[in-house]
Amino acid sequence: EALPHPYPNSNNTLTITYDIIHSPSYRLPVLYLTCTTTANHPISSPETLYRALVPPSMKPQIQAIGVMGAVSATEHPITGLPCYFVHPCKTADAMRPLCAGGGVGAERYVLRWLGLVGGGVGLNVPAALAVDIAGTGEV
Amino acid sequence: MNIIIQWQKHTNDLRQTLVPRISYLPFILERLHAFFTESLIYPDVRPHQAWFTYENVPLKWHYPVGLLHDLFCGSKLLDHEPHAGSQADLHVDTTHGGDKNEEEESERPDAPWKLVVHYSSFPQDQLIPLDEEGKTLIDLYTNNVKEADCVRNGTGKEFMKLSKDNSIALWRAVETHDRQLYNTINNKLLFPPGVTLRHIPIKVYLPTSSTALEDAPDVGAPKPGSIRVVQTLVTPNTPTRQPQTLGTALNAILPTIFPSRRSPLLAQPVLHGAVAPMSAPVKALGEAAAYADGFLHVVVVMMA
Repeated sequence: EALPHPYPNSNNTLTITYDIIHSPSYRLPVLYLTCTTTANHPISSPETLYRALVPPSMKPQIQAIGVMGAVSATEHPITGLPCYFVHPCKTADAMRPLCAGGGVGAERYVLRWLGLVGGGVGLNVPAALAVDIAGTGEV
Repeated sequence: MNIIIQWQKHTNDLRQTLVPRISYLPFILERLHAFFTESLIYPDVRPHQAWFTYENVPLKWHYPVGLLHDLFCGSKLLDHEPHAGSQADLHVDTTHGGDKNEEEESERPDAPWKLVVHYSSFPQDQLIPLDEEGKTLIDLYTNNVKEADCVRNGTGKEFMKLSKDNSIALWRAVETHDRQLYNTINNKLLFPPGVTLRHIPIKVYLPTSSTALEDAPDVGAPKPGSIRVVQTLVTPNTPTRQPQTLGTALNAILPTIFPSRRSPLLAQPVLHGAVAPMSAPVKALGEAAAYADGFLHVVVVMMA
């Protein structure tokens, strides 16, 4: 889904396409961000992405490679084009307490994972969706 | 194995340098910039702003040089007699065109590989931009090493255990082609005491022609003529507890293209400039033939 986001200090609009792709290596969902401005120029550095996306309250965590991992440049696993991804190296450890007790189906896992990982890079789950999933029981 | 890079400003000014297959194109940017600096149209361009093309295709600089060569020239191996220890030369040239003799020469797998280096119009929509300090390249390399580690032991903890000095030294060993230093540190990742090897880090590169698309997913598949990277978990042994070979692995990953576990019928696997034997055990390959980032980068070349 592409979310338009105002680009700081300019009249350009930043468009970010979020892809959640299961990584066979990490056996976890990984969040990829492909970013372009209205002039169709990709973002030139992770720092530019941080300024545009990361809420000020989250910056120390992201930059300290905290529980959400770091945002790094990479090539998109499907399109092969330049993009960014949230490194999953600490996701498993962070997700474990969130899934304690078992019985967490795929939808709930992704919802909790999004809450952990997505919030730091501007991807917030709409409240209505969260309520809807919570109300359906385990999948 | 090494690739010889050759470049020229004029017909009678030809230079060569040796680039290991397991290294990366950005390592030669400083030298190239110094060599071409007087000829540059935009004199302020920095070395990290250069980029390479082969037959007008921008080359991904975060792919090892040997992988790039296998991707674009792997088919020449199948057309010619294989010979042991084959080297490939990379010829970097900012001039265009060439005479007929050059074209015939260039069809040999060990022929100079003609690349064009560009100093303007960096294609940011196709290539990840480099930074002046080289941090992006280190970041990409390190991410691959971490991923390979996680594939091997399921946790990625062996890389995390490396001291900061060791992880810096690992990169420096790649930069300076210091095989001994590299092995000293990499062996901590390859052979951690008391840790079971779960999977072999391997990436398979598939040209997306019409036959190859049978194994490609429907959604978001790259267009024909480009390269698809296939990655699944490959165990050191098969479910019947036999050693996993390249043939059994490829048969499991891409059964349409490798219908036989023993014989290549439709395509050949190419690794480090040579056709890799289907009988090679993947565990041994992973230990002896991986690239500097810990992965086996295997290119699938369709047979005519």
